[in-house]
Amino acid sequence: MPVSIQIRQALERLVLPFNLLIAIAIILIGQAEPRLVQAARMFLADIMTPVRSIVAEPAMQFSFAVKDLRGATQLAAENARLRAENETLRGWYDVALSLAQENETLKTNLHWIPESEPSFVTGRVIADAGGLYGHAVLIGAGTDSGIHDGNIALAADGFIGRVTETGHHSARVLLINDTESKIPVTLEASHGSAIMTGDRTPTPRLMYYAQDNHPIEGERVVTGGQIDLLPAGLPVGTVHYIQPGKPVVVPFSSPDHISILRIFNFTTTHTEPPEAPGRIPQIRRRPGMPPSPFSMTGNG
Amino acid sequence: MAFSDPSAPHDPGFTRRPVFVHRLDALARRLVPGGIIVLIVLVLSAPSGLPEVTSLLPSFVIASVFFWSVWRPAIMPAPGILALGLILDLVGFAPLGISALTLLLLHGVTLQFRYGLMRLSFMFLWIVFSFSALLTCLLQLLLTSLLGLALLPPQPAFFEAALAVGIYPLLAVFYTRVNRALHGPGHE
Repeated sequence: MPVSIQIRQALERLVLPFNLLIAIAIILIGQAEPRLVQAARMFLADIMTPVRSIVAEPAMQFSFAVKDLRGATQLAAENARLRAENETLRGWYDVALSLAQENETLKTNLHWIPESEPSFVTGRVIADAGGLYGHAVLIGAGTDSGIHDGNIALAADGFIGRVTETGHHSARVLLINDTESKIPVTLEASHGSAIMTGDRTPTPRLMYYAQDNHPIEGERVVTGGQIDLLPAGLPVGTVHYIQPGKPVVVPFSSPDHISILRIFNFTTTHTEPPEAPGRIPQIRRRPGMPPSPFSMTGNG
Repeated sequence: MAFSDPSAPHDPGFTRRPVFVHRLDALARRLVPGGIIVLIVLVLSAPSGLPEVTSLLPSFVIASVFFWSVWRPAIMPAPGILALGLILDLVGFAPLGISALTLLLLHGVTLQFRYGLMRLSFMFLWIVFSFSALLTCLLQLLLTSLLGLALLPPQPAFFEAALAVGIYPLLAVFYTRVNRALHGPGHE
């Protein structure tokens, strides 16, 4: 199509402002409709999952190989350490067995109603999904594998995050050190409760604990049962004071190096409360009765 | 070819095939660098065991956009930058559109001063880029803070800018070779 040079140059000059406007429009749409953006994100993540798995596999093999090589240089020391640890663990094994036995007996005597076993799936971390300011990972399993929003992610040694977005073959797990992550926790030794808040360091902060019951250095931190889908008692880490008056949680599983996550679905253990607990049932008013002073339907 | 009236009708029987093949070739040459960048962004977003790769991605894209905006804007047209920014935001789980907007602004400003920048020595261009990268990152931080209604710590923005400044020379060497291979003597 023959277009005069002047018109073409004018159009070319308009391309950049036009694209800037599109970018601004997209930002505004993203703010107004976060769900749309989320869907687009998970769509892209779903498409990318196979490619990323291909890339992630050799990378993980490589890091394992490096670890093996490092281990090989200190075999004797490692052996001695493992032998000592094995001995301690054998002791604990006996303790655990007898405790399990005792627990079983007590539960039988109490007619304990057994809790349903949580189901879980295991997924490989295929991408860092945190961006510059966040701490989150993408795993290569999604709703097709039974993962839902709000599921709990456990790394090798403890609680590490929660599923915030799901696609068909991928899910995003918000880690405990993200600033958006605020988890109610229970402190085992001092029996206090607190909120564990991510502050972008590997050690999330402890906040909102009672002023007359400070966390004790070194005590275990487990999840509190105050929020839905997160059961109480999952191991998180230990308390450590980096400064006087500034306790942090040293997680059992470092959120910086995770390659495989177990995603637990605790929905089945969530109990529905009975409807309107402790509330007086409303009396249906007959047409002849005077209007109640507490009526919500009045127009005054 | 002699200078001729651009509105004069072409002779289709004589020019159609060469023009078509030439255009296809030119299009491929224009798409290669952008394609490489998108591919690198997508691949690097997978965990590779390298630390701080997520910070490296925006830095890499900022450096790339600056380089091509100065040396060959035809390779980095505004719609391409928009798409690149959107992909970056989607992959990096940043608020959608912020990278696109800041990268387009970087592109626009660079384009304005392009002919002055091309005359600079590498050292000075690098210094100019350092300031541009810092401003871009701070703008991203500001916009992200505004949208999140919370003041974010500035360290990641400085870190991102520092990474961009650090990888710029490496990228410049690589891209100069790509540029020469694609558009060197004998191609244009």
